[in-house]
Amino acid sequence: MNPVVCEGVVKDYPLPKTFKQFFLSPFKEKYTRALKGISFEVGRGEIFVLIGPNGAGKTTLFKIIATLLLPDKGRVTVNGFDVLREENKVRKSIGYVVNEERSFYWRLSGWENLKFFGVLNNLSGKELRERVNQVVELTGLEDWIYRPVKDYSTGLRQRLSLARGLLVSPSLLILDEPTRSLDPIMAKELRAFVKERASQDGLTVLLATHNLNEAEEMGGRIAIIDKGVIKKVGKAGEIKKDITRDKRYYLEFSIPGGISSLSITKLSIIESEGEKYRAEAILPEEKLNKLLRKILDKGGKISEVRKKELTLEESFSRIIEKDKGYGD
Amino acid sequence: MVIKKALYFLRRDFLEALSYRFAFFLQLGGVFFSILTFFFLSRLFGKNIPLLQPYGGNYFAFALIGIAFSTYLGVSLGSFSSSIRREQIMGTIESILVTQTPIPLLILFSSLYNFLFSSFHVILYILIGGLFFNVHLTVNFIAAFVFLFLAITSFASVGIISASFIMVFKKGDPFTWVFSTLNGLLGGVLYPVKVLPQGLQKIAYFLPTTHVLEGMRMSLLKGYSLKMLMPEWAFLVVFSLIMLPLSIYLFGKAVRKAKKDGTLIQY
Ligand SMILES: Nc1ncnc2c1ncn2[C@@H]1O[C@H](COP(=O)(O)OP(=O)(O)OP(=O)(O)O)[C@@H](O)[C@H]1O
Ligand SMILES: [Mg+2]
Repeated sequence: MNPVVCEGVVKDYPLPKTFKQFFLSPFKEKYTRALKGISFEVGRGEIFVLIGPNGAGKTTLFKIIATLLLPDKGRVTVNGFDVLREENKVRKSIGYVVNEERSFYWRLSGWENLKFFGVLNNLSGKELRERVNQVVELTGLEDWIYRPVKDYSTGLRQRLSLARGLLVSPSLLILDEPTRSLDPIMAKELRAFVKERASQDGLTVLLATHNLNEAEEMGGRIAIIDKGVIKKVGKAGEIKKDITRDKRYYLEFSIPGGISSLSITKLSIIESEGEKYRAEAILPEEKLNKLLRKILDKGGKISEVRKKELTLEESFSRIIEKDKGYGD
Repeated sequence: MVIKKALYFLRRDFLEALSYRFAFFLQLGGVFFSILTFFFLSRLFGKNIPLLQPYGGNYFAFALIGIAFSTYLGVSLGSFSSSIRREQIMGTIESILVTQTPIPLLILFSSLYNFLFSSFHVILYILIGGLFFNVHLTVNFIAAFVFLFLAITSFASVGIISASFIMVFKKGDPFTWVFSTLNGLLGGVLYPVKVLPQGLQKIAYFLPTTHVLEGMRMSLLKGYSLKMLMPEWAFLVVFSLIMLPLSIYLFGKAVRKAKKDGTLIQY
């Protein structure tokens, strides 16, 4: 059985009632649907990256897996344990690294915080001390660990959060935007560390990010999530290739009467000089032919057409923006 | 492990309290001054008030214990909800809820420090009264401790129900307000229940405060044994046996509701 299994997960958040609604229909609840049937599986030692715009539902999904939120429909299991019925067993195997700075006791030192959360996770005595020292060393917090958390920078708190997540030696590590406030060097180290744990110890990792380079660098599967729906799953290469029907073209042409006579919106003009244009378009090959014919039909001249690679970022926005009728 | 967890909660709260050193000492100062107020107040009354005869006849001794335990009631009622709210506002509630510690233990331990601190208050009240204000104590320690324990279990259960309200509605609940007002009014804090009209005395009988204070006064001032105080502790035992499991059940429900609505960290 795969360490993480999600089947048709739906999550509705109740909307706060307005005063009027409260009196007219006190028992009718209104909802926003944050997850609209999410299904995927993650294997042991795999790094699964969720990438998507703000409000896509990444944090919601992670909280459900971490037993902090109950799904409305669907089934989620962690190491075969159901998050609804066996939440204690689920919690035994996960390390959840929140991106919430305030999740520590600010007036206590990092060290006191780690010990406290360690004890709540059933660590004690020598084992507790050793684990705390280990994670402090791993996250490079040695110089700060005896200072109160309120004195930390945002990045230091994020490292402390990672340290806490690693404390229990989890078999599933859930990282919600773990590098958001880290400097580039620390962020790189963190990615390298996570990859090493995954390949050497079989640590399973769920990671949410906004950073496409980060998603690609992790080397595992990437799921593009938007408005509560997973739009695409695959390795970075596959995601890019999948959209190769859409290619990026660089064009140089001239057209009598100017570009407005073409009535084409998908062309982004880089530079224009009288009736001469340098432009880019992202389209499938057939559409390019149509475009070129249109230019020629209007009596235009084409001086250059060049094909370019799409970046992962462009592929990503193509997938997300398909909903907005951008696709054709 | 359970005891270790309890100790770590205490350690956490003690360190936090120490980091607010000033407030810590202000509270202790408060105890002294409220005792002084009642000391002066009691000079209004004579030594042998008929209705206070069962407690030794001295108003100061009577009020001292009433005050000591009614602050205790206040703390017990408010402590659970305020520690839940504090965790919500600080943003730490999710991080303790993902740990491998069951929810009933989390809620109990998060108030442990407040209970210890206010028990310390109670003892301080009585010590100061005995040492500096000449209150005559004839203590039956076993009975006093049993009543202290029963005070905790009875008041705590109401406090946990209040915390469940806070968890779901994010604001104070009417239930606790009614409960603490009734207890202050009818529970025999500043005057004996006997001065109340018949009808109100009947209501007073169903309030745990009435029995806690009766038991406490008799065991501290007159040295009554558990055997003599049987009706009082029997009521509290029954009250706790019903209310404590009920309150923990309700709290579990409240957490589930918050997990359903996604309101765990909202406040
Ligand atoms: N507690 C909540 N109550 C009501 N609605 C919520 C709650 N939490 C999230 N939402 C809504 O659910 C949707 C998904 O939010 P979520 O936080 O999961 O997105 P996300 O992908 O993590 O976004 P981000 O990249 O900004 O962190 C959003 O529309 C958000 O407004
Ligand atoms: Mg998020």
